[in-house]
Amino acid sequence: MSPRKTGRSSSRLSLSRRTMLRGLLGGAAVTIGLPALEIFLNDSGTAYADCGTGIPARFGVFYYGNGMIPAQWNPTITGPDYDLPLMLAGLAPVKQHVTVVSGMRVLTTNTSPHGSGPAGLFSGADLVDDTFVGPSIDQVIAAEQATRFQSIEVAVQRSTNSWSMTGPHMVNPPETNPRALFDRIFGGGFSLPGEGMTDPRIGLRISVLDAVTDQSRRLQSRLGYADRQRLDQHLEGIRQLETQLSAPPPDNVLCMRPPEPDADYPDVDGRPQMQAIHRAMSDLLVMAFTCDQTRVFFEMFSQPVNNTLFLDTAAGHHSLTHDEPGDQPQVGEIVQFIIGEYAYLVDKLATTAEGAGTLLDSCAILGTTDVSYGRTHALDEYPILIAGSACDRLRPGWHYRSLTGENASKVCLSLLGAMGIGVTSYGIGAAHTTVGLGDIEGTG
Amino acid sequence: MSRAGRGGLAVVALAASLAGCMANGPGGTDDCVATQPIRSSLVRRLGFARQDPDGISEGFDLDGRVSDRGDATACGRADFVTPEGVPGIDNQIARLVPLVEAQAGGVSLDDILKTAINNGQMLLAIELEDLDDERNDSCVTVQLRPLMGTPSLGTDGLIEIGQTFDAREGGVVSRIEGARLADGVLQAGPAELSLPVTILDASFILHVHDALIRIVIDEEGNFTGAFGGGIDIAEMITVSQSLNVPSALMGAVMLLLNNNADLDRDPGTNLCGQISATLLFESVPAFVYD
Amino acid sequence: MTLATTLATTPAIARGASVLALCLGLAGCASLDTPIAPGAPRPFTELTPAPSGLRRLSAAQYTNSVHDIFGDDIVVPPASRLEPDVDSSGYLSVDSSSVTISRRGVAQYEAAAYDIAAQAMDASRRARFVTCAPVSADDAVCARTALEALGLRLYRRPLTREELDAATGIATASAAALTDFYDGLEFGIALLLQSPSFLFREELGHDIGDGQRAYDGFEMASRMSHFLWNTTPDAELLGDAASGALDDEAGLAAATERMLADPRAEQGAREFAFEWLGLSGLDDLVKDPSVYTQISPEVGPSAREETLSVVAHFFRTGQDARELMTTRETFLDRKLASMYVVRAPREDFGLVTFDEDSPRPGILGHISILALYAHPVSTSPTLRGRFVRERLLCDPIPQPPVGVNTAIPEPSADAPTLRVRLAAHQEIEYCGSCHRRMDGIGLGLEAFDGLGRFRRLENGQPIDASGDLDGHAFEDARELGQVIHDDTRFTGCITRQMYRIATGHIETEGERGTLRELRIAFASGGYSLSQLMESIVMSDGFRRAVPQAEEAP
Repeated sequence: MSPRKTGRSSSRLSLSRRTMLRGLLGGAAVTIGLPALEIFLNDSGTAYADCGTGIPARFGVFYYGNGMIPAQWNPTITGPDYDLPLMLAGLAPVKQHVTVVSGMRVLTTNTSPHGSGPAGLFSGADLVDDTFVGPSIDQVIAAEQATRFQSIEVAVQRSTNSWSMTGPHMVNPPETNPRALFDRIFGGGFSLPGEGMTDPRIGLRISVLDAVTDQSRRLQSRLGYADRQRLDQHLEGIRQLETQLSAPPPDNVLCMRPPEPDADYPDVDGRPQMQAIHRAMSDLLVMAFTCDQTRVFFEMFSQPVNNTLFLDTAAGHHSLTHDEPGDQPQVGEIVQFIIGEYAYLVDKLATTAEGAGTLLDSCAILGTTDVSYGRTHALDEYPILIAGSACDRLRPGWHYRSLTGENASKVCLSLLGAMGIGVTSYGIGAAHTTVGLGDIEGTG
Repeated sequence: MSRAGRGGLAVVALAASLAGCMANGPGGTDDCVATQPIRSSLVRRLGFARQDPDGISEGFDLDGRVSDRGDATACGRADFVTPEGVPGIDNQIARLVPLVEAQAGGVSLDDILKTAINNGQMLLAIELEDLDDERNDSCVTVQLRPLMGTPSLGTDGLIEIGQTFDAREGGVVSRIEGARLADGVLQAGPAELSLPVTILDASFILHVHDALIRIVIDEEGNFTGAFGGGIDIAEMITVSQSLNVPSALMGAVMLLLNNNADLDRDPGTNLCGQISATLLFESVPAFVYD
Repeated sequence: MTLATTLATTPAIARGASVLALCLGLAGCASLDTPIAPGAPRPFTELTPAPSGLRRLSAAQYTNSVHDIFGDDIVVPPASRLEPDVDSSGYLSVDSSSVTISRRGVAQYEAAAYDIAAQAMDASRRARFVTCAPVSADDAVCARTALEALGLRLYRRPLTREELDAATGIATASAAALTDFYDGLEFGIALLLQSPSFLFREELGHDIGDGQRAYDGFEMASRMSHFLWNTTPDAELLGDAASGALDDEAGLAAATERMLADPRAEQGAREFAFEWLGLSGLDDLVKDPSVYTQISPEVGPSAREETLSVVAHFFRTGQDARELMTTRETFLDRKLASMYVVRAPREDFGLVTFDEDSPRPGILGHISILALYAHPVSTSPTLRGRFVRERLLCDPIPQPPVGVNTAIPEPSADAPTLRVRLAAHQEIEYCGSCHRRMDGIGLGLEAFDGLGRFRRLENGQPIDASGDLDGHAFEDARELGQVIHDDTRFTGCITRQMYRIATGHIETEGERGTLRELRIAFASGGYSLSQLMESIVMSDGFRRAVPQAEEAP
């Protein structure tokens, strides 16, 4: 066996993944290049050098539900010296890292008030049968990763729902409890160098997984197309688990086992502790990056149509977006709070050292929601934030305003390019694009 | 209802004069036959009627006299006037309560009662029997009955309405027959009341002599009301001793009680043996297991 | 149902139901309620059943199966540590036919498998599963015997030779490595528990000609037990499958009757009610505690238990299901009793009969439904009306239009009640065309606040709960319940949704005939839920399938 066990798994992975992605995208122009792993790893497979060559590019999504109000979100000044309207006020400490893309339009058919936007942005297509027709953008990137976890999904508002999907009906259920997230990443299966010893059971467990794989393959031969796809996903999960079981310990000296978060975050006065949960999860995700346990995450801060009681507001968030009169000051207060939490995550990445810079240097953290103006479920003026330069492949700290309502898929294509994913187009139908958004791309 | 009740205890329409007690309620029936089941209401707030400056207090005219400091029959204790201006209100304990609270280091008797109620130590039901009309009924029996159970509290910190409890075994029950309900206001008494009290670590029966009760019943079936009557000074002292009141404070309490007694004057000694008192309460629909 | 799934749910309900709306538009449907004389020829169209395929176990089915197979004393990881159920279609059972197992789910099922296997092989329990005496750590004969018996239960069919060889191989190799027979057997059991043949129900059918398939005995056993019991087949049912008893009508009927008489059938009835009424959201009920002082974390789960208990009671007693809209009998714990302001039963979830003048219209007056279909600080006649339309009448409401201002006026002196404020929706034609169909019904439930508490006033104004459901006027919620009770769509809608849940798909045009037969059978059985369950099992739609498409659409 090769000394690089992850390498063994990854080559097995990428073939099947490539096939699967082709299938899922329904023959759309997606070409997945050779395993992108080679770009990220040097000969030892783990030691990093410079951002983009040794240090891997990383991707995250921070999503929240219920939209915004364009007049309280869109800066009026473009370029690096952009202003911060009320809803974006929380970005002040990290403004130099965050690019605001305004005026873009999600070009899918707006049939589902809080579903068409995410479907369009994240999967580049309409919702079909209430689900995405292909993987969400984070999973397109995740499919190319050979880290212990291809991706990690979290949700601050307690829910089993997520827009992170590996294919139709294939939701990646999020972790909703910081302790459960800790256990998953830094619990039993995680060891620091010199810490763990070989557990004889691990080899036996891998044998069992191999046997499950055999059974699943045999079963597949008796199934129709849709069910074969479902078992492909099961097989994919088994391979990922085998990767996890055989993953070597991280060799970054900055990697530490973080403190264990609280087991419970009970509601206070009937209101969820969104901030405390988000921050506990953010801290874990940041350390997961440092320890290279994953390079991709998707955070559902809150759900579409959620009626969470935020802060001291007088009604649920979704109700307020429709019923609050005037300039909707309570909606403004909620979105400002949420963007402040996005800024917390960005700041945490920007203040965590890695190589000669910080973790954020290698990241692109997409911040967005499900509609623009919540009250009307609009898909123009779509809110898009990008933090980090993904190793200089993106231009941070900039406000780009589209005056022509450009296709939001352009942003996604630029993001995929920044992540080293060799796709030449993004989106299907009206949302299709073969060009990225040059104004937000960097020099790297 | 719960929001309105969040401040101090407010007694609605206590100003209804005692004279009203004697009138037949409009449309009420006179027969003492029940057509409705017993209605139980659990006291979830209880506290002393306090005096405002200038001699204003809720309460009852217990002795039928409007007394000033020169009224020897009332041992020289001047009566209060209700906020609505009804004179002759006997509630001398209102003078004493804040002094006792201050002497005891700033405790709140109302808070002590609230704690006892909320933790289930002191659950008292006010029950209406022989009802045949929700608003007007000239023949109702009022019963005070101690209950037991673990009450559930709402997010406002008050016992939630509609809960079911057991009757307290061996609990002392007071019954007053012939109460009248007119326009949703019930008046009962005078009668001898035995109030089972459990506060701090002590349990005792507080006897209220010649007690009057007034209850305002709202549309939702919630009660607000008051008990008033005379409390034996000697009994109060015994009770205070059972509460382990420090001896220094005890002396002050005894002095205050004796100085403020206004009822039951002994013609021989010219001393009053009872102090007038009014307790305000709020109660909510509840059920009692048979 | 979570708010997100509320969103995701709508189009599917609309889509599924639109097929039937089409059906109702056909002339033939008008006569659906006329009973057909016994012995009359069946005028129905030929059945085109749904495609066969895999159905993933729900978290409840996983848990129930493990308890049934390994013993009730086995601690199964909580649902939060199993792959979560999905209800994007509005029914977990329907989504079970499309969901897969995520990467996280694979890891969770693996952890659960070893957890359960270790408990099973504990010295106190292993004799249940190992009846032979192992002669050595790697005694293959003994391991094989144990795995064969467990495999039959877990896969709901005999293991193939290949499967049994693999499991035995894993067990003996592991036993050799760990030098302990039972430690090794744990790995064999863990294999069975992680196999797609356990985690998915393989209901593929075999060709019977004309492009159709029939489910074989073991597949029928699995379909029956998961529908009727919400768990795995017991040994007797597997015996029926093996003997061929389930291959003919008489044997199928006998097995169904036995199953419906079994206490586990209540699990099936409860699962039906849970999915039909969309009660999953009660775990995360969001209510503002400053508005609703009686809210507490147990309210949602208790309210759900009440509703499931009532439906289970109807199931047990055979009571006319239409009376779900009028019954005054319910089952309460102390908390719920206080919220209804009635005397609590001595035992939690004991029977309580509301007074004759109770304002509550059966389960439509339950806190579960009234609180779930409402907002955190207020009622929602729209959500409640949509619930009645979609879940009780199978009359779908389209998605709200996008790009319109959705605000309603604030409460004011001119518009103190929600009824007045909502009138705005109805005056604007593109809002009103749908909102009239929802709000008019939902306003009939305005005497119940956003937590389901009865109230007489809203902002000091008396509540007007009168309205009209498609030409049938009602004065209050009780009368609304009676109108629904009398509406033939109600029982048709129960039939249709139970069929969806039983078969795991939204019915297709090709199943119209089956559904009409089921409706008639439901009526002639006095609207007994257990009889409807039996009719569904016996129906061709439940027993037959077409193959799934071989290639991508």
